[in-house]
Amino acid sequence: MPIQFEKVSYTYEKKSPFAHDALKGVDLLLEEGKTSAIVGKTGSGKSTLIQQMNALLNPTEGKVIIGDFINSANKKERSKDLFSLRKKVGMVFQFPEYQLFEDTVEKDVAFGPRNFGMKKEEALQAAHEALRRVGLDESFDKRSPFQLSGGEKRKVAIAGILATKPSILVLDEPTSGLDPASAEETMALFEEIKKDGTTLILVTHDMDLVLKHADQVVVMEEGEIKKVCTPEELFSLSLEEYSLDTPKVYRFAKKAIEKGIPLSLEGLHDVSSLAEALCKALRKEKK
Amino acid sequence: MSSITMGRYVPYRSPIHLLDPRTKLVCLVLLVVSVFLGYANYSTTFLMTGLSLLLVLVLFAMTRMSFLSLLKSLKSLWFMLIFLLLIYAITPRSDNLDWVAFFIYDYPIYWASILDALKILVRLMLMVALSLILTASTKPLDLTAGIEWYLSPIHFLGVNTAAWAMVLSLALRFIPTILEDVQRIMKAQSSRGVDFKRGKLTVRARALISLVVPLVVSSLVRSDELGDAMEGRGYDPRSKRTRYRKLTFHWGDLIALLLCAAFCALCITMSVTSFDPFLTWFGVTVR
Ligand SMILES: Nc1ncnc2c1ncn2[C@@H]1O[C@H](COP(=O)(O)OP(=O)(O)OP(=O)(O)O)[C@@H](O)[C@H]1O
Ligand SMILES: [Mg+2]
Repeated sequence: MPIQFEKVSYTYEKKSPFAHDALKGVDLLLEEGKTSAIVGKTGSGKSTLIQQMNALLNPTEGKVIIGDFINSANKKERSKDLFSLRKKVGMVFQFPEYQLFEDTVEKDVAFGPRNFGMKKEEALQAAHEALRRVGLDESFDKRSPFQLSGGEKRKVAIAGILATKPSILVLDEPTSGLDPASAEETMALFEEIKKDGTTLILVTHDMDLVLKHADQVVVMEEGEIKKVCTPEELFSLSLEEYSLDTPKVYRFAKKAIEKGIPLSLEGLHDVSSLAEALCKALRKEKK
Repeated sequence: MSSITMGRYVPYRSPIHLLDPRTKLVCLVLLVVSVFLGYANYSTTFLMTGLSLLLVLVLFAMTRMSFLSLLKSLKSLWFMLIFLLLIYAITPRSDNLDWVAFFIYDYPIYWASILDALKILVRLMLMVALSLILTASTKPLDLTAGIEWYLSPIHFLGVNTAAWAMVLSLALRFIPTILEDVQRIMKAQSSRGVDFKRGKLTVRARALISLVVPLVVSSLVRSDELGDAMEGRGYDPRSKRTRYRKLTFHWGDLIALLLCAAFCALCITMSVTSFDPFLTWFGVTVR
């Protein structure tokens, strides 16, 4: 299912002194089966943008088309079947640890699938599967979600969404607050899920993740889309203009080029590809 | 959702906003007393309630709040109306027993029961509306400063009024934060397939639990953190604090006080003397 934004604007608390234009005429196409990263400064409207994708917010102008669901500013045009939309579009929030409420982890993870119509046993099965996928073993099943560490809570919350088997997975800063190893594991998990044909939409401040995992980057600034391109394209530009970080790999490569090593920036997306490019360049130099 | 935020402070500069919080507190008490007085007969009650309603409408317009949204947010009061009707229908007052509205089987429902239930409901609504005007037009901190001022005489009896005022101001301060939490948790649970608006009673109860439990947990966590943060910045409930805001009494305050006192006096006089304007002025006897 692709997601298409057509001239979408969103104003928080319209008609009050608090009115704030969080989105201003956004046109955007997020393709099926790809990973799109949404980046931008704090307050640039990323979270607002993704909440339009499962109709938690309705645009104040324009419309969002998610498969056959239309989330439009016009009430008459707006599709009614929120239930099947939310089943298809799974959303992991910025602070997902605040949604836990059941007395055991497995029940909490099974809560989503149960709501979306699975039988109890089936839902528990899906819950266990999802828990194993995020790397929490059987010993967690019967524990109370409130006694977990912050990172474990986050994993439980992610499992809670995975268990509903969405075809679009929207993640708002999924790795913030996780230790580097867990962050790496979580991202690896998302890569794996993507192989099943799931569309990934990833909001993040971590440019290393963007470079490594994204097929497409959307740069936002003050509620507008500034640029849509591939990560390679974005990071080979000067990024000051968007006040984004350069990924470590690129920073290293650029420094190396400055020092006279003829590195090629093409196909550079993580440490191993950097090492490869470096070896290639050095070998060439020797000859 | 916006209905929940009714009564949150809105920074306009209306005449009501500019009043001293101490004035507004006294005016609130005076007006609430006026609203809850009983009168000679139903017609007089109707007349005086109408007058109060008019006054509240004017105040709403002055504070630039929308009365319509108040009505919308009170939509759920129908439950209360039914409850009141039931009580009054089972225990009708002894007067007016000749005035039957209709029969349910052989059980008479008196007009008096219906009117009494309506009367209570309208009075409650007016009281809520009046307090909303106060909170919408007064910064929470100013409000606590006002309350603290009224409490200051007790200070000499050894009661730590500053600490109590701090408790109050923190409670007020955290209302919007908790409302934000409500919205955030509702969004997270909606993404997991919870429907807060529709469904059978059992389903709705479950939806409510999925909202309330995380809300309580996050509030407890937050208050814990707040306590630490306050101690970290050297807050000591026993020491004397200086004040940044000064409360000042203007001409407008005097006028507001006089107007409210006059209205209250009028209502009390009419109530105590059982004054019946229809009989005295027009010579008609009404119920
Ligand atoms: N509930 C709300 N009411 C009013 N304004 C809001 C609300 N939520 C967000 N905003 C405002 O809308 C703008 C965009 O917010 P948004 O949460 O989409 O930013 P973001 O890009 O996700 O930021 P971050 O990286 O910090 O998560 C911000 O300026 C914010 O202040
Ligand atoms: Mg955000």
